[in-house]
Amino acid sequence: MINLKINNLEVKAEEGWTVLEAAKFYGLEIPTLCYNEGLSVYGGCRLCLVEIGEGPKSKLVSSCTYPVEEGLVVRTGTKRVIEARKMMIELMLSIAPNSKAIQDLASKFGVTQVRFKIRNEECILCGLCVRMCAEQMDGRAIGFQNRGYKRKISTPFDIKSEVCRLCGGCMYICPVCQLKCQGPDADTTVCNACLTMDPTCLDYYDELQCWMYDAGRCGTCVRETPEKSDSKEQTRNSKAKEKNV
Amino acid sequence: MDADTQKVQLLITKHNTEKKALISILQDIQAEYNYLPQEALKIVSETLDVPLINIIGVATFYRSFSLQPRGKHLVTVCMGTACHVRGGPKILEEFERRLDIEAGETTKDSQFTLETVACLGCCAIGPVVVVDGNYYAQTTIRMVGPILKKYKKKEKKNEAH
Amino acid sequence: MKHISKIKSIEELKQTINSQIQKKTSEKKPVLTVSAGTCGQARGSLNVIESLKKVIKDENMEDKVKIKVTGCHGFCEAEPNIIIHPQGIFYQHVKSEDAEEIITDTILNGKIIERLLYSDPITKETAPKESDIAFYKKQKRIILGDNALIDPTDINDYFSIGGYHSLAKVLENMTPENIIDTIKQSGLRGRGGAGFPTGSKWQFARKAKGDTKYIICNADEGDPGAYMDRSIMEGNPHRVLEGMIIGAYAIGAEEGYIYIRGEYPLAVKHITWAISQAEKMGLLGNAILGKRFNFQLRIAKGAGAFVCGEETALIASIEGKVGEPRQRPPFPVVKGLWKKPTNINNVETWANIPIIIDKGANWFSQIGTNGSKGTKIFSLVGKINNTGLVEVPMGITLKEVIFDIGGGIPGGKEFKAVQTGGPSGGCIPKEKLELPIDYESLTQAGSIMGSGGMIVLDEKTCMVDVAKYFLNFLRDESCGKCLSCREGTQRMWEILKDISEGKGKESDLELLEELAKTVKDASMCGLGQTASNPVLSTLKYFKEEYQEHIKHKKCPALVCREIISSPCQYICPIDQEASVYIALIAQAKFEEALNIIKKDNPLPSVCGRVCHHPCETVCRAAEIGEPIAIRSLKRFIMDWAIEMGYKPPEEQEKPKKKNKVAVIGAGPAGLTAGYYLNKKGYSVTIFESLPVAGGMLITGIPEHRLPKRKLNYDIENILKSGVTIKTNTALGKDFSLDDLFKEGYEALFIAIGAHKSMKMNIPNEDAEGVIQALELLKEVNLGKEVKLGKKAGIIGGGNAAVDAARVAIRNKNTDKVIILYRRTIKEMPAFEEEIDAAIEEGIDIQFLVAPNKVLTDNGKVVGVECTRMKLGDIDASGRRRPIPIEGSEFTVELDTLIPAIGERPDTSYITEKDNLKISKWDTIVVNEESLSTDRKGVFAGGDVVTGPKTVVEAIAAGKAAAESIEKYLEGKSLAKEYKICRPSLYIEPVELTEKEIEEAERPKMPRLPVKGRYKNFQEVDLGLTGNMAIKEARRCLRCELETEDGKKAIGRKK
Repeated sequence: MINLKINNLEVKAEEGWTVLEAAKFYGLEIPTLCYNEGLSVYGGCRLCLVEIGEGPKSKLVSSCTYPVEEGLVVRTGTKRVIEARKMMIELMLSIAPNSKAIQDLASKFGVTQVRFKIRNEECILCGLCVRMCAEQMDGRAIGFQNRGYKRKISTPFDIKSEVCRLCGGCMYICPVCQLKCQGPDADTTVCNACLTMDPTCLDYYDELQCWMYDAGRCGTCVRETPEKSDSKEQTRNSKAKEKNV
Repeated sequence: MDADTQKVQLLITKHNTEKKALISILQDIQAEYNYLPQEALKIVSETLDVPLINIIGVATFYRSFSLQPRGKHLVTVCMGTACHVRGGPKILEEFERRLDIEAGETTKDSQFTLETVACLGCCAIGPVVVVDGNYYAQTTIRMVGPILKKYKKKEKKNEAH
Repeated sequence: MKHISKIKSIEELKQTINSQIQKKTSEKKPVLTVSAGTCGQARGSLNVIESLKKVIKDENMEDKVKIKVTGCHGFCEAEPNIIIHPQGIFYQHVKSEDAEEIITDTILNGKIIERLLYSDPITKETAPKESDIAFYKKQKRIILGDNALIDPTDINDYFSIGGYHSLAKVLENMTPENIIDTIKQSGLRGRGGAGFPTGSKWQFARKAKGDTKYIICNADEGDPGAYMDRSIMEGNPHRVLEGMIIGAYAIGAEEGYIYIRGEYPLAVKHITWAISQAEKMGLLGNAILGKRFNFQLRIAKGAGAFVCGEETALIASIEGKVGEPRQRPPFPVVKGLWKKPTNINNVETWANIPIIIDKGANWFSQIGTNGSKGTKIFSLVGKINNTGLVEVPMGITLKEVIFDIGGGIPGGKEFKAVQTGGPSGGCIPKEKLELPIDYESLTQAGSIMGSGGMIVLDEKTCMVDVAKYFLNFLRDESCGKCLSCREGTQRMWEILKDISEGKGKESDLELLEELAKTVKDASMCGLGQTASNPVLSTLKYFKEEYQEHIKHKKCPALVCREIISSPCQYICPIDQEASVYIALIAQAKFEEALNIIKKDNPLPSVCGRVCHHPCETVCRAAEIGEPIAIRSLKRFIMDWAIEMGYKPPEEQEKPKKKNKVAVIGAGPAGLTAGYYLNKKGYSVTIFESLPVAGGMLITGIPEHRLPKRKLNYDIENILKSGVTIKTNTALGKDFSLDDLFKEGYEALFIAIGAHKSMKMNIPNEDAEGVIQALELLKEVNLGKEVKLGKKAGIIGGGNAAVDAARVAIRNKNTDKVIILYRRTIKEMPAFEEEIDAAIEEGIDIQFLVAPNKVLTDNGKVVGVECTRMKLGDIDASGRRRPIPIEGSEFTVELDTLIPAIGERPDTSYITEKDNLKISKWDTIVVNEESLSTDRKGVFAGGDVVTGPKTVVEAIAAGKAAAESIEKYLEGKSLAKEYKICRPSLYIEPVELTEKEIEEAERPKMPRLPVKGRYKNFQEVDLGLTGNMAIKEARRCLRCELETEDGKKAIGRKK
């Protein structure tokens, strides 16, 4: 057993756990994007940052990759963490403002401005699709290529992959193209309306990153509006409908 | 240029067909063909039992590999800090202008490929340009024309023969 | 390569070493050591070697002199260089042609060839030996020094300087724990950049769990500007090997890697050979020297990724993967290469090991500071005279390195900052030059030690451009995993790009700082964590430069191309589109050129003759030849217009505005303000105290430089446009400011210039025969007869002094004219061409002379007593202060004395009632941007505000005043809007033939021969001919076509 402190709470964790796993075990919420329980950790989105250590030597690390250590002091909500997190969300919004997942994060963490040039790309290079394809689906049809600002995800030679089995896993797991946000404001690029709107589904897929090269014909990315939602959501939705009249 | 399967296999066995030697193998293939042909990469993937997508990841990550065929003559302009403050970017522009291509591209007649490098470590003699392994020290805009002329002349000479 | 056989024991190794040392010391022949590293080869050292070999063969001297081909000696500026042993003579810039002389003169006859010696850039003194050269004096070359002694491709040479002696010592007498203790005690810190204590790292590695351990040499020297490691590996590879073998023994590793950049082909070659030789000799492999110690060394070549200099990325690369850094912990010493404990050290760190073992930890820790022991090798590059690799003890100051060792900044430019630590480092400004170099002090100053790159920047380097350059580098080299690093570097670069293109916003700096902080905090590896340093450090020390780019759309260092466009237009105080009218001249479109000129300049015939042409001083054509003769081209057009009797087309009646504006003073500022105000539709009256208009143009510039006919052409054009001038009407005498307001003028522009000559304040300066320069010039120009004596002396060194001298020598009485100036010709403010012309006309100039008193006889001047001066430190005016030399008084015999030491405005007419603030220099105080005074509706500009300055600056003041007055009369804010410099149109460039480019040369202005100028005021400069003008105009580089706007306009953008 390893003893550490998270937000002044004395916690115990198993050897080999990451700080994120320890926090989750104790019900402490740390936002994530590129993390998925069923896939290996990546640590690329930098949302799960926490501050470790104290005093001048404290630093920010991604909790999903940082292993628990005896005596480690972790804080998940310091000023540094919050500012870094907000900037990450702002950067992500500037790349993919149409992603509901990112707009939701913006609402939740109070990001109300995007001060960078909007790129309107549909990929934030979180790598979930790559790991999904390789680890869960054993396909290895897509992967990271190039480096730095030219980094991208694609198939070998940018043509249809011989090993792609059209399973749709990549589409399924992608936080950007799962759900489209219909409400980003033209001026601010921030939506903040998803708490009052119906979850939307994809109505269009022209500029999708679809490695199955079927441009939507496979039907994976087009979904029915969920009929069954929990009671909270239902009340929220009906209230919204009333307002919109 | 098509990759000769046998040749590529030889290069792989030279490194004991070890997965960890991937970069060295690719360096050898790059040296042999002046770029990394698609076929060669597929052979490496099969022989080393490494997914093709991983090979591509490595091949595109490192600057010294090229997936496109390179021109006959490789012009490399140094973009290191010391060369930059001594006017390196202007030298690059002059090459771009004269060859009518941008850095990273090859001329239509496949004679010249123009590339940049982050630093050659020859800062004292900057701005530095390397053409086919020949180093040019303290390059000026005026030297660009004569340098290109020298290699174009080589072509004409070879043709004449 | 002779004699390679396996060494089987430590004893045998010691014997081999000793025998090689013996061989070397008993060598009687002189040795020519030629530097042939990569740079030396690029500069032709291989040819030099060939020539030397040939001469030696031809002269049958093969057994009388040896040639040793070594790696880089470190003094790159001097390459190719030869050091001749045993004397230690140092020859620089050696060419093949020098080979013969070197052999016959120096080797055979012991004669030193002066021209091949190093000479100090400032004092020009030569230094025959390496030890005499300033570059080497303050260095302590415990590592690099060996480069000049050995042939790196021969292991025996390494033995001959005691190489592998430390390995013998270690294997014979020391345990691994002893070794680690020694390294710990020495205080050696990692030389790759982080500065982690090496001994401690080795200890961690040794103590780590597991039997399989690795050591790695990080030779992926990716910092642009740093090449120390290349020099060590090319010039002394065995030193690194020896260090690694010792390290492997201490840590318990059996396998090691040298990860070396692919961009270093020669270093790869030399290291490969060295390993092969060491293996053959049994220094690598199994059972080394008979001990139970195996160690194999392999080479891994980098494939072009800066991030692979980071240890975990380097490890990934050796494992055959992409160079993506990994989370630490676990640290490589615990879980590194293939998850085994791995110790990684930089090349320089390994190179320090043998000497620490040899001379002991105590000896090593005596060098350097408390926290940073030993020496550090820096690559001193950029804007520096003595470029090269310097090895200095820690604790030496930056100032010593840059000025004492580096020899200062070339071209007499000013030091601005030094960039250390590569893309992970920062810039250190002038104020911190006394900083001692060690790990802590550099970090505190906002930079880092890094691997040792030291890039010197001067006043012509733009710090925004430097930050942008580094971010461009980093956004490409980032591995791309972390959002913060990948996106952060990209976005920081975008913001810097906008700022450098004049598109920056006020909020950009705040956003930049915020983003920089986040990238630093949120990134996983060293690359991302330090990526913000170039931005943060330049913002810390050079914020005003950023502000200039953002607020004023200016780049003070004249670097950012999108802001500068064509430097001639950019620097011109009146925004003349020189490159446009030059382009039109090149196509013989003279009328269109004239229109471009007149658009921004109401006094072009004047400027075409007397402007101080700042445009020419920044002209880019000077980089490949001489600046374009812009002023002469302008003059050509104006002369053409006059000769052709050019009549501008009828202008439409413009709508008249009801406001009346008064301008006081018909000098260049007043005339210009009047012209533009009239153009805007206001009713303008210019009040002039003299009987003629022109101000200093008519009273201060002699006719041989500015003929009345040409001046009047410009003034006539201004009058024709509708401006009224009332001459013989003086402020104070004939009217006051209040009077003007009472008469209905709503705004006033005071431009009365600076016409009061300053007194010398020496005895008898009012004697007969003393006439102030301004007085002389005015009287002569106004056509009056002036009596001067036979011998005239002028006191002063400005344009007024030289003008007065050239007027005096034209006086019918005067035979001799002498100018007495208190500083040297370098400080003389007058135009160079004027000084040359004065000397041509027979005028004598004496420097470092100052007057004490005027000597009189019967109240008439008979001479002036002077003291000789010498130059001291720099004073408030930016020039070196002259100091009198005691007891050096002497007399200059004269009968006419013409003081010309300066002018001031005569603001005696301005009273308290007028409500204007006057400075202690008698100038009117105004708001710099709007030219408004403290009194509402009253503006001032030109010499009356600035003190004596140039014609074009006065014209600029007139233009600015016209804009301000318009805003004032329309009730708008007077705040200045800053626009980016762009021409009003883009002209297609002309294509020059190869021949034209080769032969292009600035034309010499045809001039009246001296004989023809005798006692007359004919214009001396005759002007370019049409053909000369067109030919010169074609030489223009058309810099405005290089901006994005320019490229688009002529369809060049891809």
